[in-house]
Amino acid sequence: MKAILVRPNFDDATRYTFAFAEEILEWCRQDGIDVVELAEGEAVKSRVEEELKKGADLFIFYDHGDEDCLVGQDEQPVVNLNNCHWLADKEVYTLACLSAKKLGAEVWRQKGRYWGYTEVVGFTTDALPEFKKSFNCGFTYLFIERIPHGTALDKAREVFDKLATTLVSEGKIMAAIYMRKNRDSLVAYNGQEPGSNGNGGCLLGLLKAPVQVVKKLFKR
Amino acid sequence: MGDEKILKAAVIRYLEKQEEADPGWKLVLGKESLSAAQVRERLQKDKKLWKEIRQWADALAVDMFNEGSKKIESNSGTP
Repeated sequence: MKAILVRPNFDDATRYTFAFAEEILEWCRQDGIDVVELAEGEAVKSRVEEELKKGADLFIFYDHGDEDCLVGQDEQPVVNLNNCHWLADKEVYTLACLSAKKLGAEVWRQKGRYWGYTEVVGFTTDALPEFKKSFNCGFTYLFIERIPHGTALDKAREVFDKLATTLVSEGKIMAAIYMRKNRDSLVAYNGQEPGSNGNGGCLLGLLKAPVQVVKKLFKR
Repeated sequence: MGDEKILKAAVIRYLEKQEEADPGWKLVLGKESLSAAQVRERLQKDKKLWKEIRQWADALAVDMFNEGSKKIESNSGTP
């Protein structure tokens, strides 16, 4: 398997996610995945397209994105709806905000598979190892253990749930809140189709816990 | 809406404690990186951020009840 790993590093968020991606790079090398790294100055559209043209099975992108694009080191899209044909038939693994909404759906329409998020991704600095684990666990399921996307998504969501529970017990409530939010915006096309939540329906709108219970979460 | 005010006050207090314990603490939200003080300030005027925190705190509370139900079930043994 050949992979391209793109990781810009130009602001606070990318400084953290650049480090999160280091683990993915190590896993690729350990597992014999032939990986081309495009980091920092190389994480730009021209270099990304150059490598995609050479061919790859897997495209990994850490970090910023928008609904229709993944953003490079120069803060310009490296992939958007105009050049996402390069991701047709490929696996995409990203933690970029929002990108699963339009870009992921389009890649899926072009027979690609997309692991990403439909909302803004959040994390806190008091739980960086936990967030790294949550962001990276899907990679292990998909590309090391080679589990199907739907199953990998279910397993990843379990990881997010367990981490959120642990964070609550450690008094890291804001971390738990964003762990929980990220969990629900994580999608895996083809594990599910764009537009479905892949989890048998969202009960959050129906089940509202008493405010007193929520308030207790914030007591240390 | 009185209860919501109490919840928001609890969140603000939590963020104050967080700032005291770890002045370098940050909430990274997409391209934004906010200190505990900045989150507190934002919560006073940013309805979207407050709604988000409230929504996912609710979700966590639901998870806690569901987890509790499972534990009760597994501890009840066979009849």
